[in-house]
Order: sequence, then structure tokens, then C-alpha cells
Amino acid sequence: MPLTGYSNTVTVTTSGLLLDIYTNAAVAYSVRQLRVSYTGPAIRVRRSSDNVEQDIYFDVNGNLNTSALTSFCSGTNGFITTWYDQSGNARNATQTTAANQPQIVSSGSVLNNINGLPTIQFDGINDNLASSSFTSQSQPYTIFMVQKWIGSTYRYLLDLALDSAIGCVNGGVLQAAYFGGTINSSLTANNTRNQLYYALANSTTSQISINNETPVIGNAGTGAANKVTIGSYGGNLFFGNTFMSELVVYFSNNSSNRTGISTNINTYYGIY
Amino acid sequence: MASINGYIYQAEQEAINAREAVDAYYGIPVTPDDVTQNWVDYQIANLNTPQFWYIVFDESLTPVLGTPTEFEVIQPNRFDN
Repeated sequence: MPLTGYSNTVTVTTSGLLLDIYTNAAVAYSVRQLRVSYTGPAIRVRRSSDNVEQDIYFDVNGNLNTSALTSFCSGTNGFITTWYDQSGNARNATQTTAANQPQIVSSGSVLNNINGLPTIQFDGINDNLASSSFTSQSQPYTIFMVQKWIGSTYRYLLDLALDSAIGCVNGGVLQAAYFGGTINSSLTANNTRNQLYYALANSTTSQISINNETPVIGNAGTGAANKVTIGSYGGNLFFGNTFMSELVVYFSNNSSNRTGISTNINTYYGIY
Repeated sequence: MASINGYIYQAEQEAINAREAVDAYYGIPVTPDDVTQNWVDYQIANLNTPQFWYIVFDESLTPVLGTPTEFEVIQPNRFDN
């Protein structure tokens, strides 16, 4: 009903979410809302007490509705069965095997290991989430990921195809973008730093930059992308032990927007 | 080569039977529409000779599958090389 007289209207800014500003993402998974027009759930969760599943949405501020999550997982553990794709391309990342589902609630408490914000824990043993395969996308493509390593064996974070992955080579500390060849960030891996991991797959002028370092540019190969697997590389072979909160991939060269996208992400997560 | 702690099977059907036994123990899936369709899944070691199938150990499997064993699985060298 319209109010007359004194006006106390609250205007909510609804045009500033990441994918509203930087459009045409190919896939987008996050614990925050990334697009104003996205009205679907953020995640689907299985609780360990009775294995019942439920979709969890965002709250009115675009944050993961942790009240709904803790209510659903009261006193028990919660595992991700689906990380919904907010890009509009319906490339949801799922895990149909309970033992391989990454965790988001432990004994009733939401994991919040990246600056107190909700995060998903991949165990480095057998956890991953994967989309269905899609038509192979040749380079260029651009990756933004929010993560934090766990433990001291650093492996793989993301697999987009046999010749397309990011993470650490052979359990070492070099943080790489691999698209058939490898380029390494100047920052080596450790388990205390929150990270915004950026990579551009663009053949001889591929890029990698972690936490807004000056991008390292080099020949990382010409590998295409045909599937999103989060938390492992090589199907079910090499698993990364990591927290993860956001992954956005563009099937285009978005290096000109690296600073803007990074700033948007960093403003929310307070990474660097 | 990776050292795996888990359960090893010489035939795929044995691995399927083990997976089904664990599903029955934990009542998975709760409903047919659930995303979660299995409690655990098996892998194939197709670079080993002879090839075999295996399930990676998880504490939740002990009541059904018993004590795990250590074995070696040959893995391909790609990015991991």
C-alpha cells in the first residue's frame, strides 16, 4: 500500500553484483549471490544425521542464508551435493557419491575459514564437484577463484579438461596455470593465505596472478575447456585439499577486467 | 604410482556388490530424486597389470567392508609429472 506523508523508503541497490557488471560468465559458483536476477538456490546440502537433502538460498543481502543452513544441519554435518551455477547456463556442479562430497557444516557450525565467510572444504582425498560435459570451448578463457589451501600437500583446484587445470604441480609449492604447458605464479603455496587465483588461458600470452600480483605471462599451452571439475584434476585422480568459496569462468579474454573483477571479489572476501 | 588405503577387487561386479552393500547399510538414496545416489564409489586401476577395481578407505566403510589394505595404483603422468 502506498504511504503518504513522511517517506522512509529504503532503496536497495540491485545493479552492482559481480555478474551484472561483468556479464557473460560461462560458469559461476559462489557462497554469495552474483547476479540480481538469479533467484535460484546457492547450494544443495545433505546432512549426515539422516542423509536428507535440501536447497539453501541466499538471504536478502545476497549472502548465503547461514541461518537456514544451520537450522537444517542442526548439530550435525552438512555436505554439498550441488553447487548451483549462477551464470544462467545451468552448469551445476554436483557430486552423487556421499563420501566424495565436500563439507560446509561441521557439527552444526558453518565452515567460515576465509575471513569468517562461508566456505566449502575439499578433503584432498576424494572430494570434488563436477558439471556435465559441454561443447569444447577453445581459448581464450578466464578463471577467477577464491580459495585457501589446507594442510601441506598442495595439489589441484580446478580441472577444465585433460589439458586445462590450475593448482600445484606434483604436490609442490609452485602455483600454476596449466593448459598443456605451465606458467607459475611468483607466490608459492602456503596454508595461511586466503587467495584470489586468476588465470587467463591464451596460448603464448597466458596469464596467472594470485592476490593481484603483476600477472606472470607466458606460454601455458592451447588446451580447451569441456567440463568443470572443482577440487581435483584428471577425473578422480589428483585431489586438492582446499577451502573454496567462489569460482567464475568466462569463455573469453577478460584480462582487461581483471582489476575490476578482482576488486569486486576482494571487496566482499577481504582477501588481500 | 600412488599408495592407496582401501579395498581391492579383482572383478568389477565385486566392487559393485560392495558399493550396494554400503548403500543398503546407510539407506542411500533416501529418495529416488536425491542427488546423492551412492555412499561410496569404486575406481578402476586400468594401468595396473592385471587391472583391478578399488574403493578408497573412509572410516564410515569399516562396519560394512571391514579393515582396509594398502596397495599401489599406477596413475597417468600429465600435469602431475
